[in-house]
Amino acid sequence: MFKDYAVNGVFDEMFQESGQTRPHYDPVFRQLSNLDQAAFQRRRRMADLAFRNQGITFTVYNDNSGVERIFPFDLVPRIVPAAEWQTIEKGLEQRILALNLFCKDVYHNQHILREKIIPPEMIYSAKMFRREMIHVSVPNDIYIHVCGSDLIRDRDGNYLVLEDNGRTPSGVSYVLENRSVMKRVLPSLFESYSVRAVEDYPFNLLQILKELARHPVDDPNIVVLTPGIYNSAYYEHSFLARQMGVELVEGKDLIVDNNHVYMRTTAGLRRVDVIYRRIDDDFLDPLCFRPDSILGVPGLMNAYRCGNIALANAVGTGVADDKALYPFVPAMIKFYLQQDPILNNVPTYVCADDKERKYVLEHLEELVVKSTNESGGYGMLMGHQSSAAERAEFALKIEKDPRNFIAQPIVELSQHPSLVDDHFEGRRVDLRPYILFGKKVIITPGGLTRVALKEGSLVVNSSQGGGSKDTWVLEEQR
Amino acid sequence: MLLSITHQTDLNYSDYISESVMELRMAPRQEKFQHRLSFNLAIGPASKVKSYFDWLGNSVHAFSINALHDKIQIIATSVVETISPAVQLEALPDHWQRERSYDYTLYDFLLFGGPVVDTPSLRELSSSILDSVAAEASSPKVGDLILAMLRKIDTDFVYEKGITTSASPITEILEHGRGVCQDFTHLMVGLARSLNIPARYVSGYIHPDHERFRGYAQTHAWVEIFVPSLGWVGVDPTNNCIAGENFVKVAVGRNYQDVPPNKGVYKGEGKETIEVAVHSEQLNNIPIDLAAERTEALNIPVFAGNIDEIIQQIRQQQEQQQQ
Repeated sequence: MFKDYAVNGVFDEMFQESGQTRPHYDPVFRQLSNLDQAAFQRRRRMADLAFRNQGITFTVYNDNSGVERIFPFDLVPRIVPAAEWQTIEKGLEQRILALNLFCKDVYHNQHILREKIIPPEMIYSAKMFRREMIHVSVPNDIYIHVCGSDLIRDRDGNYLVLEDNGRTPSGVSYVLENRSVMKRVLPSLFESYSVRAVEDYPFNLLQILKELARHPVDDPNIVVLTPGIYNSAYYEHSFLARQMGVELVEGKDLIVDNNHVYMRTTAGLRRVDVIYRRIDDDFLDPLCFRPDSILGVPGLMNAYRCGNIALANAVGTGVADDKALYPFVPAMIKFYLQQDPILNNVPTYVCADDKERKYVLEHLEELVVKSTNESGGYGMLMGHQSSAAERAEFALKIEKDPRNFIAQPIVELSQHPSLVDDHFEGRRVDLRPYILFGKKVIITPGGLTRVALKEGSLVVNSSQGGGSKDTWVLEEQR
Repeated sequence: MLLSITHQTDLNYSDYISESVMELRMAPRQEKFQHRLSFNLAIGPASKVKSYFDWLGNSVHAFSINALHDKIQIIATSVVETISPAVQLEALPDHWQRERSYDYTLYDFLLFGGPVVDTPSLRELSSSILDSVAAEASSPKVGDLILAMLRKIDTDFVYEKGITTSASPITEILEHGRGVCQDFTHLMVGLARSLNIPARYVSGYIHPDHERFRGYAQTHAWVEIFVPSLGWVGVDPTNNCIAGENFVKVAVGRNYQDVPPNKGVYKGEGKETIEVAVHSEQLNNIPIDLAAERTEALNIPVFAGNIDEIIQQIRQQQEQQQQ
């Protein structure tokens, strides 16, 4: 099935340029080569069935035909050696510490602005900069409790951070489900490696949520707040609530009374201490933010301000994952931690800067242009695949609202063998590790490897036709 | 000037409502030229009130009423001592510079947004004002520009109620040439910002002085302009004057949306009607039983029962984007 496999001139996770397998992929290569076509297809069908039975789906917007889809799963596991993971782990820990210090700083003393490390107008023009959070203290000074940072690998195999998701990152339920399916479908392959466990994620998440309760009681009341069944990540919201053994609620299930938050239950109101919210800031409290929101809880911000309720993530973290501020993350690391970044950024042009905008407009064909406040692969232009008309349209958009755009050179993501019909072909992948930040930083080994299933495509978002695969971080050899 | 101000708000609903959550910006600010001696807030139906400072330093009082009710009454009474700032705009030394850069904390007051929209007709008006001032002096001064803006608004715009609403952008007053203090204020804020002069919106009260002022019977709005040599200077485009000791400043913001005296949400089908009455009185002496801050309950009833929850548009909002 590996016959005719082409490395395509990019970094291949499994094969060296010579066509040799990388040593840590030897067992995978051997076992998959020994499986015959029928056996492999049977396992693939088993996996598909498992996902369908579990109801693991996501929702695609802007698409008239379908709403819920199965997230395509690719059976070939991605393997990350222990030493590589160690670097990633250190780099991500450093990054979340800096991003969190940045959030605290911009909402309090603003040293980083006063010392002109970041142009203040970049902050004050950020859509997600929540002035309502200025001078508001949050529990333990932690803003970003859950972060999903997207990593990619360049031609030489270096890991680069493509973006940080510090608002309501989703996808961790797939990490857990992918693992459970892999163990069932390819048990002997799994056992030929010592793979680090991911199953304690819900437990760790519950722990950091418990730490946020204002009064350290034995059993603080924690809830997961979802926008509801039509949200693309509803499956995950219910999954995490079930795994943690806490209630899944919608805004209408909560009520604020005298600046405390209560949950409506059949036995009357019950006080809530911590909300793991999967609702964007905009919709959280119609009194404070979007007045037309009926998903939120009126008065929640006042309860939050009083310290009577803890929110994870904190309100206002969108300022840290604004794509136009992303180029400043290395400077944040230097400023707050006096360290050099362990993981590098992808070079980025900020269209708000006159010189950089000029360059971007002249080189649209070679660049990826992204809207600074969109996520999920919406609102972007892939220069090399675009038509002249699309480029002209984007150029207009950029000129009209430069602050809203950044551009990056097209990075050739690394590729990984994926099952395509009856054989393996290289498909581009990224990696989204999940970082939990409480009393200590806990990074679940691995994360979600997303695959661009279309040949040659560089966009891995599930909403844009991506799939996923299990990611195995290996135990250190002793 | 020692002033006592009573600000009464009556909210009536055509049907029973529940779960009202409200925020008030009614407590006068503590400032160099204005001392708040007392603030008394009476609310009915009875509710616990929590106060805090918002990001602009305004006092906010928040409360919620969960039981069914069909009216809310709020009476805010302040005793304030004001001092005339004695500013002479024509004597300000500051020269105007189009490219002047300010401390970044003023950035919010240089940006257009909300009802203060940047339009060609606003730009036209501001450059005509600039031209008229530049014709008299080779290097125009900020003080002269402020005076010219006040004069221009005074001569070209008519005070008239019912033309605009509290949500009107400045395109409306520019088009009709008519509006109320809120429109005059937004307009002048826009004019200043279009000339790279920081300006902010002030909401407050005006104590009628021989009925000389327009728009005195209600809460009032005016402008503060940032002048480097002096700081914020208050001027009233509705009355073409400096904000003197008759002005009581309650809240400042980028525009009206940052400073509404009351805003709230509630559950229910009932329609809201609002009646506001402001009464001000000059005192000779500080009353002896004055409390710095106090809240009390007004006897407005609540009712037992339950109403159906509103679930509309829910799907659309549930589809909010995930990362």
